[in-house]
Amino acid sequence: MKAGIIVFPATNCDADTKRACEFFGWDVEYIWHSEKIKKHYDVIFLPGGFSYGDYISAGRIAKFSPAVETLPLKESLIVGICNGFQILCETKLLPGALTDNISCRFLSEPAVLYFNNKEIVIPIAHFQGNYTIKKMPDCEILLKYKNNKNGSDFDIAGIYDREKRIIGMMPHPERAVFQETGFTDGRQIFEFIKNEC
Amino acid sequence: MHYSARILVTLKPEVKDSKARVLESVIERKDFAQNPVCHTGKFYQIDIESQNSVSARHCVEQIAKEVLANTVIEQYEILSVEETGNESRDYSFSGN
Repeated sequence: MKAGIIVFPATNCDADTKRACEFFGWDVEYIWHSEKIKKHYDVIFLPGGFSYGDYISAGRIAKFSPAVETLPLKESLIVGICNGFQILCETKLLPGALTDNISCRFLSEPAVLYFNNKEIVIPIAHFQGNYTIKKMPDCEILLKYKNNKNGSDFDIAGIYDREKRIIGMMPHPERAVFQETGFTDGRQIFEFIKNEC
Repeated sequence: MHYSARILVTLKPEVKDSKARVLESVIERKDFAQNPVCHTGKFYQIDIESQNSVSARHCVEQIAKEVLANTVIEQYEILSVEETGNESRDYSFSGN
Protein backbone atom coordinates (compact mmCIF):
# COMPACT_ATOMS: atom_id res chain seq x y z
CA MET A 1 0.00 0.00 0.00
CA LYS A 2 1.43 3.34 -0.99
CA ALA A 3 0.04 6.49 0.59
CA GLY A 4 0.67 10.13 -0.18
CA ILE A 5 -0.06 12.92 2.29
CA ILE A 6 -0.44 16.44 0.92
CA VAL A 7 1.15 19.06 3.18
CA PHE A 8 0.01 22.68 2.98
CA PRO A 9 1.41 25.64 4.88
CA ALA A 10 -0.15 25.31 8.38
CA THR A 11 -1.20 21.70 7.97
CA ASN A 12 -0.59 20.14 11.39
CA CYS A 13 -1.93 16.58 11.22
CA ASP A 14 0.46 15.31 8.57
CA ALA A 15 2.84 13.63 11.02
CA ASP A 16 0.02 11.87 12.92
CA THR A 17 -1.50 10.69 9.65
CA LYS A 18 1.89 9.40 8.50
CA ARG A 19 2.43 7.52 11.78
CA ALA A 20 -1.03 5.99 11.52
CA CYS A 21 -0.36 4.80 7.96
CA GLU A 22 2.99 3.35 9.03
CA PHE A 23 1.25 1.53 11.90
CA PHE A 24 -0.53 -0.46 9.18
CA GLY A 25 2.71 -1.06 7.31
CA TRP A 26 1.97 1.31 4.43
CA ASP A 27 4.70 3.16 2.49
CA VAL A 28 4.11 6.85 3.03
CA GLU A 29 5.37 9.98 1.30
CA TYR A 30 4.65 13.62 1.88
CA ILE A 31 3.50 15.63 -1.13
CA TRP A 32 4.29 19.34 -0.89
CA HIS A 33 1.29 21.44 -1.85
CA SER A 34 3.09 23.27 -4.67
CA GLU A 35 4.07 20.04 -6.43
CA LYS A 36 1.94 18.51 -9.14
CA ILE A 37 1.12 14.89 -8.35
CA LYS A 38 2.86 12.69 -10.88
CA LYS A 39 3.55 9.46 -8.97
CA HIS A 40 1.01 6.74 -8.33
CA TYR A 41 -0.44 6.34 -4.84
CA ASP A 42 -3.08 3.86 -3.73
CA VAL A 43 -4.45 6.51 -1.40
CA ILE A 44 -3.86 10.24 -1.07
CA PHE A 45 -4.67 11.99 2.19
CA LEU A 46 -5.55 15.64 2.63
CA PRO A 47 -4.85 15.78 6.37
CA GLY A 48 -6.20 17.99 9.12
CA GLY A 49 -4.93 21.40 10.10
CA PHE A 50 -5.38 25.02 9.15
CA SER A 51 -4.05 25.19 5.61
CA TYR A 52 -3.12 28.77 4.70
CA GLY A 53 -4.32 29.83 8.13
CA ASP A 54 -7.94 29.27 7.05
CA TYR A 55 -7.62 32.60 5.25
CA ILE A 56 -10.84 33.68 3.49
CA SER A 57 -12.36 30.41 4.73
CA ALA A 58 -11.08 26.95 5.69
CA GLY A 59 -9.76 25.17 2.62
CA ARG A 60 -10.45 28.11 0.31
CA ILE A 61 -6.88 28.85 -0.71
CA ALA A 62 -5.71 25.21 -0.67
CA LYS A 63 -8.08 24.36 -3.51
CA PHE A 64 -5.86 26.38 -5.84
CA SER A 65 -2.68 24.47 -5.00
CA PRO A 66 -1.00 22.42 -7.77
CA ALA A 67 -1.27 19.22 -5.69
CA VAL A 68 -5.05 19.58 -5.33
CA GLU A 69 -5.47 20.60 -8.97
CA THR A 70 -3.66 17.42 -10.09
CA LEU A 71 -5.37 14.93 -7.78
CA PRO A 72 -5.51 11.67 -9.75
CA LEU A 73 -9.26 11.23 -9.45
CA LYS A 74 -10.57 7.65 -9.56
CA GLU A 75 -7.02 6.35 -9.99
CA SER A 76 -6.24 6.89 -6.30
CA LEU A 77 -8.59 6.84 -3.34
CA ILE A 78 -8.71 10.40 -1.98
CA VAL A 79 -9.31 10.84 1.75
CA GLY A 80 -9.89 14.27 3.25
CA ILE A 81 -9.72 14.50 7.05
CA CYS A 82 -11.10 17.60 8.77
CA ASN A 83 -9.36 20.45 6.87
CA GLY A 84 -8.99 17.93 4.04
CA PHE A 85 -12.77 17.49 3.96
CA GLN A 86 -13.16 21.27 3.92
CA ILE A 87 -10.76 21.50 0.96
CA LEU A 88 -12.60 18.77 -0.98
CA CYS A 89 -15.91 20.58 -0.47
CA GLU A 90 -14.37 23.90 -1.51
CA THR A 91 -13.16 22.31 -4.75
CA LYS A 92 -16.69 20.89 -5.19
CA LEU A 93 -15.23 17.40 -5.55
CA LEU A 94 -17.56 16.57 -2.67
CA PRO A 95 -21.01 18.12 -2.23
CA GLY A 96 -21.93 20.55 0.52
CA ALA A 97 -19.84 22.91 2.56
CA LEU A 98 -18.44 23.18 6.08
CA THR A 99 -19.49 26.27 8.02
CA ASP A 100 -19.12 27.49 11.60
CA ASN A 101 -20.28 25.23 14.40
CA ILE A 102 -23.70 26.38 15.61
CA SER A 103 -22.27 26.93 19.07
CA CYS A 104 -19.64 29.26 17.59
CA ARG A 105 -17.15 27.37 19.71
CA PHE A 106 -14.18 25.25 18.72
CA LEU A 107 -15.13 21.64 19.50
CA SER A 108 -12.29 19.43 20.73
CA GLU A 109 -13.52 16.20 22.24
CA PRO A 110 -14.16 12.52 21.61
CA ALA A 111 -17.20 12.01 19.41
CA VAL A 112 -19.44 8.96 19.35
CA LEU A 113 -20.14 8.14 15.73
CA TYR A 114 -22.15 5.63 13.77
CA PHE A 115 -19.96 3.67 11.34
CA ASN A 116 -21.07 0.46 9.63
CA ASN A 117 -24.06 0.20 11.98
CA LYS A 118 -21.78 0.29 15.01
CA GLU A 119 -20.81 2.98 17.47
CA ILE A 120 -17.20 4.08 17.47
CA VAL A 121 -15.37 6.88 19.28
CA ILE A 122 -13.01 9.19 17.38
CA PRO A 123 -11.78 12.67 18.39
CA ILE A 124 -13.05 15.78 16.66
CA ALA A 125 -11.34 19.16 16.67
CA HIS A 126 -12.90 21.89 14.58
CA PHE A 127 -14.59 25.27 14.43
CA GLN A 128 -15.95 24.97 10.90
CA GLY A 129 -17.37 21.47 11.21
CA ASN A 130 -21.02 22.21 10.49
CA TYR A 131 -21.72 20.23 7.32
CA THR A 132 -24.26 22.19 5.32
CA ILE A 133 -26.17 20.74 2.38
CA LYS A 134 -29.63 21.54 1.01
CA LYS A 135 -30.75 17.93 0.62
CA MET A 136 -29.41 14.48 1.40
CA PRO A 137 -26.15 14.17 -0.57
CA ASP A 138 -26.06 11.86 -3.55
CA CYS A 139 -23.34 9.68 -2.05
CA GLU A 140 -22.82 7.33 0.86
CA ILE A 141 -23.03 8.63 4.42
CA LEU A 142 -19.93 7.08 5.99
CA LEU A 143 -20.11 8.55 9.48
CA LYS A 144 -22.88 10.17 11.52
CA TYR A 145 -22.75 11.93 14.86
CA LYS A 146 -24.67 10.27 17.67
CA ASN A 147 -24.69 13.57 19.54
CA ASN A 148 -24.55 16.29 16.89
CA LYS A 149 -22.94 19.30 18.56
CA ASN A 150 -21.82 21.24 15.49
CA GLY A 151 -25.23 21.37 13.79
CA SER A 152 -24.32 19.31 10.71
CA ASP A 153 -27.27 18.63 8.41
CA PHE A 154 -28.56 15.06 8.73
CA ASP A 155 -25.91 14.55 11.52
CA ILE A 156 -23.35 13.88 8.79
CA ALA A 157 -19.74 13.50 9.96
CA GLY A 158 -18.31 11.88 6.86
CA ILE A 159 -19.28 10.96 3.30
CA TYR A 160 -17.97 8.68 0.55
CA ASP A 161 -18.49 9.27 -3.14
CA ARG A 162 -17.80 5.75 -4.43
CA GLU A 163 -17.95 6.76 -8.06
CA LYS A 164 -15.29 9.43 -7.67
CA ARG A 165 -13.49 7.40 -4.95
CA ILE A 166 -13.39 10.36 -2.60
CA ILE A 167 -13.93 10.23 1.17
CA GLY A 168 -14.36 13.25 3.40
CA MET A 169 -14.73 13.23 7.16
CA MET A 170 -14.48 15.73 10.01
CA PRO A 171 -13.34 13.31 12.79
CA HIS A 172 -9.64 12.45 13.09
CA PRO A 173 -9.12 8.68 12.76
CA GLU A 174 -5.33 9.16 12.88
CA ARG A 175 -5.80 10.29 16.51
CA ALA A 176 -7.51 7.01 17.36
CA VAL A 177 -4.96 4.43 16.27
CA PHE A 178 -2.41 4.25 19.08
CA GLN A 179 -3.25 2.74 22.45
CA GLU A 180 -1.50 5.65 24.20
CA THR A 181 -4.18 8.11 23.01
CA GLY A 182 -6.91 6.11 24.72
CA PHE A 183 -8.77 5.63 21.44
CA THR A 184 -8.25 2.90 18.86
CA ASP A 185 -11.50 2.91 16.84
CA GLY A 186 -9.70 4.89 14.15
CA ARG A 187 -8.12 1.61 13.10
CA GLN A 188 -11.50 0.57 11.67
CA ILE A 189 -11.47 3.63 9.40
CA PHE A 190 -7.96 2.84 8.15
CA GLU A 191 -8.95 -0.77 7.54
CA PHE A 192 -11.93 0.49 5.55
CA ILE A 193 -9.63 2.75 3.55
CA LYS A 194 -7.29 -0.14 2.80
CA ASN A 195 -10.19 -2.29 1.61
CA GLU A 196 -11.34 0.45 -0.72
CA CYS A 197 -7.93 0.77 -2.39
CA MET B 1 -5.80 51.86 -15.79
CA HIS B 2 -6.28 51.40 -12.05
CA TYR B 3 -9.58 50.18 -10.76
CA SER B 4 -10.70 49.66 -7.19
CA ALA B 5 -13.47 47.23 -6.36
CA ARG B 6 -15.35 46.75 -3.10
CA ILE B 7 -17.07 43.44 -2.52
CA LEU B 8 -19.28 42.14 0.23
CA VAL B 9 -19.61 38.40 0.92
CA THR B 10 -22.35 37.08 3.18
CA LEU B 11 -23.94 33.74 3.89
CA LYS B 12 -26.99 32.88 1.84
CA PRO B 13 -30.24 33.53 3.75
CA GLU B 14 -30.98 29.82 4.12
CA VAL B 15 -27.60 29.10 5.78
CA LYS B 16 -27.28 29.31 9.58
CA ASP B 17 -25.32 32.42 10.58
CA SER B 18 -24.00 31.39 13.99
CA LYS B 19 -21.86 34.49 14.47
CA ALA B 20 -24.91 36.67 13.86
CA ARG B 21 -26.80 34.92 16.66
CA VAL B 22 -23.88 35.57 19.03
CA LEU B 23 -23.85 39.22 17.96
CA GLU B 24 -27.60 39.54 18.62
CA SER B 25 -27.11 38.08 22.08
CA VAL B 26 -24.35 40.56 22.93
CA ILE B 27 -26.31 43.57 21.62
CA GLU B 28 -29.33 42.60 23.68
CA ARG B 29 -27.38 41.65 26.79
CA LYS B 30 -25.55 45.00 26.81
CA ASP B 31 -28.85 46.85 26.28
CA PHE B 32 -27.83 48.47 23.01
CA ALA B 33 -31.14 47.41 21.45
CA GLN B 34 -33.99 44.95 21.88
CA ASN B 35 -34.58 42.06 19.46
CA PRO B 36 -31.83 42.96 17.01
CA VAL B 37 -31.58 40.94 13.80
CA CYS B 38 -28.02 40.63 12.50
CA HIS B 39 -26.23 39.32 9.45
CA THR B 40 -22.47 38.98 9.28
CA GLY B 41 -20.21 39.11 6.28
CA LYS B 42 -16.79 39.91 4.94
CA PHE B 43 -15.64 42.99 3.11
CA TYR B 44 -12.90 43.00 0.49
CA GLN B 45 -11.25 45.82 -1.41
CA ILE B 46 -9.36 44.71 -4.49
CA ASP B 47 -7.37 47.14 -6.59
CA ILE B 48 -6.34 45.93 -10.04
CA GLU B 49 -5.14 47.18 -13.37
CA SER B 50 -7.39 46.66 -16.34
CA GLN B 51 -7.91 47.94 -19.86
CA ASN B 52 -11.39 49.27 -19.24
CA SER B 53 -14.25 49.24 -16.75
CA VAL B 54 -16.02 46.29 -18.42
CA SER B 55 -13.00 44.01 -18.20
CA ALA B 56 -12.27 45.25 -14.67
CA ARG B 57 -15.76 44.33 -13.56
CA HIS B 58 -15.52 40.95 -15.28
CA CYS B 59 -12.21 40.26 -13.52
CA VAL B 60 -13.68 41.22 -10.14
CA GLU B 61 -16.70 39.01 -10.81
CA GLN B 62 -14.39 36.04 -11.40
CA ILE B 63 -12.39 36.76 -8.25
CA ALA B 64 -15.59 37.03 -6.22
CA LYS B 65 -17.00 33.77 -7.58
CA GLU B 66 -13.83 31.68 -7.45
CA VAL B 67 -11.92 33.02 -4.47
CA LEU B 68 -13.97 35.21 -2.17
CA ALA B 69 -17.27 33.33 -2.06
CA ASN B 70 -18.16 29.66 -1.85
CA THR B 71 -21.36 29.88 -3.89
CA VAL B 72 -22.69 26.72 -2.21
CA ILE B 73 -23.28 28.70 0.98
CA GLU B 74 -22.28 32.31 0.27
CA GLN B 75 -23.49 35.16 -1.89
CA TYR B 76 -21.53 38.17 -2.97
CA GLU B 77 -22.32 41.71 -3.97
CA ILE B 78 -19.95 43.93 -5.89
CA LEU B 79 -20.55 47.23 -4.16
CA SER B 80 -18.51 49.31 -6.58
CA VAL B 81 -15.83 49.23 -9.24
CA GLU B 82 -14.23 52.64 -9.65
CA GLU B 83 -11.50 53.97 -11.81
CA THR B 84 -8.88 55.43 -9.53
CA GLY B 85 -6.41 57.00 -11.90
CA ASN B 86 -2.81 56.22 -11.10
CA GLU B 87 -3.17 55.71 -7.38
CA SER B 88 -4.75 52.99 -5.30
CA ARG B 89 -7.90 54.09 -3.53
CA ASP B 90 -7.40 55.14 0.02
CA TYR B 91 -8.58 52.31 2.26
CA SER B 92 -10.13 54.24 5.10
CA PHE B 93 -13.60 54.65 6.47
CA SER B 94 -15.31 57.33 8.50
CA GLY B 95 -16.24 56.53 12.09
CA ASN B 96 -12.73 55.99 13.44
